[in-house]
Amino acid sequence: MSRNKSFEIVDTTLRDGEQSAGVVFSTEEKVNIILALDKANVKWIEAGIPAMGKQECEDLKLMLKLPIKSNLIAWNRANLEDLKASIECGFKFIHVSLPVSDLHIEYKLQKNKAWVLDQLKKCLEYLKGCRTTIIVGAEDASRADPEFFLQYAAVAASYGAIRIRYSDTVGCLDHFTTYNKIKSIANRCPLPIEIHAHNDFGLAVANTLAAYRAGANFASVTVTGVGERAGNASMEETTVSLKHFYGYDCGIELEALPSLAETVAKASERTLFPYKPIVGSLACNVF
Amino acid sequence: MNSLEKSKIELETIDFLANMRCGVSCSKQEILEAKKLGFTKVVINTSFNPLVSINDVLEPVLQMACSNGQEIYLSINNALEFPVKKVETLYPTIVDYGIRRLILGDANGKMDPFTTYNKLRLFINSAQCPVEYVGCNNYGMATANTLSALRAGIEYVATAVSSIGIPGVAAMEEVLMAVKHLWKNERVPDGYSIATDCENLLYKAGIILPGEKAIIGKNVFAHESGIHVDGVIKNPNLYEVIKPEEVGLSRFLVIGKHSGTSSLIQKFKHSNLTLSPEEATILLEKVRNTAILQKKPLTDSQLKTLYYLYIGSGESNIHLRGKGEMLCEQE
Repeated sequence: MSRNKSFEIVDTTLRDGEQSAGVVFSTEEKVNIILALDKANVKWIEAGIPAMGKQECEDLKLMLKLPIKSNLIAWNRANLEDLKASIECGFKFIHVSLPVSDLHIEYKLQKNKAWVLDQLKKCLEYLKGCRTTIIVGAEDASRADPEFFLQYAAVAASYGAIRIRYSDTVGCLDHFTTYNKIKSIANRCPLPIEIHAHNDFGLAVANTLAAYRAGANFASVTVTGVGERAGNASMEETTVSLKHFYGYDCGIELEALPSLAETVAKASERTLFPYKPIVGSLACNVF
Repeated sequence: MNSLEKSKIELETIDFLANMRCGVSCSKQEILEAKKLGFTKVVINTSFNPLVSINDVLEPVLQMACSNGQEIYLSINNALEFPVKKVETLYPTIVDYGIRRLILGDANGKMDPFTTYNKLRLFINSAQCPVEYVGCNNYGMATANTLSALRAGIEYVATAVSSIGIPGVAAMEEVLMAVKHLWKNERVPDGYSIATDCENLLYKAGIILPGEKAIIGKNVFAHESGIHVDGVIKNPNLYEVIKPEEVGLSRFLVIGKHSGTSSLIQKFKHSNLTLSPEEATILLEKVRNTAILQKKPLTDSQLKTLYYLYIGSGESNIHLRGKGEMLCEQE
């Protein structure tokens, strides 16, 4: 197990987290969350989707002006309009996302694999002249042909992307399958892998740890695990577990987590489940 | 006799005490109490302590339980922190006293899902009695560790609905449905009522089930994000591994900040109304602004109002059939 490289946390509370049905963060709440994340030393923050409209862009422009160390990332579908909106918004870190599974390519996009690679190239070509740092996302990677994922990653690498996100979009992996899948591609992948797990079977954090063990270098998380359906891997459980089980310090201020969790719980208008690990009112104190 | 009366009678005839295990500490007093209460099965809770010989502590308690004719289960709540050899020293005692099962715990949550698997494989290999595993959820690993236990060959695992407990254990609904749907194990019964059953059970315990709870939360099949809604309409498999009906829930669309035009078109379609893509685009901006302003998704009533104000087709009584809404509406 190659464990000497780094493992960094990428927060997507304001993007994937806010996509949780019914959650809306006000401008003020978003700013407070970003400031708190920055204070806790979270280096990467996926701030939102400029393509969502004027209001969203105004918020994002405000966030880009904040005096923070964190890198703010704009999430984009793979089309030039989305990318244009992000560039105009002022983002330096651009995430471009396409599905890589046959299921998604055929039924959602109604296209084929060649089209996906082509579309990625078009987008990255466009970004070439923009002086941005690129992160590429592979949706539904957990159900995709690993060879196609690697091809897709190779295209991303050829345009200078700094990492590739491996998404278990539907949360169908367990920790064994996550470990096996990531292990089998990690050495052959031209880019560092960011694991993006969902919690449909309560396994998001376990899968994230499995990916860490298998050679991934980044993990998408959200504060409290808020996100689509049953949510994402929670930042609290992921970071505390990395320290507790593996002695790995990912650089995040663990003591800041309970108050961060409270802030996000309030902003999402969801009371934290008392039995929620780490941050629930009845949780065992692990600090 | 109707089925309700029949169920009542069935419930009355179940001998709860005979089927439940009573947890006691390593104390003759408590063994006696358990017997007085009518329990025939006892779980003796202990842990390894470097200062004390566990056999010395157990002997008198086991003797009493035996002479009481009680069925004994021995739980070592920190067993997984110790080498297998240490647990093996208990097997002679286990055999002598006819202990039914050895329960191994990870009370301090020291094991991750992989070390749990490896450790339990070792235990299984040398086991001289049935073994049961109790996961610890202090770090959120109980479900994963319990799946590891099952994978390692352990045949009995502890769970609780929604992982409740201090410390919590694996979530029953997660373990069952993972084994059924991810591991394709057909021996697990259908979960068609699991969501309601779990919610009711928690409610009786004074606990509100969070809407986002994996498998059984009301909102786990709620879709708002435009991309997801669009996908789910085309083919639910795109974003759902299990169908809502398989756990007794239903899918529903939330009209809010992240909705896309296809969400709106679909929403209107449900009520046999056509919204053109152009109209959907106009309406979408209004929907988003409203959702942002009120920090909530839109009600059907609000959606209707926006339609009248900005699209307005002259129909004064368009009806959007929402969840639980009655068919006739009085204005």
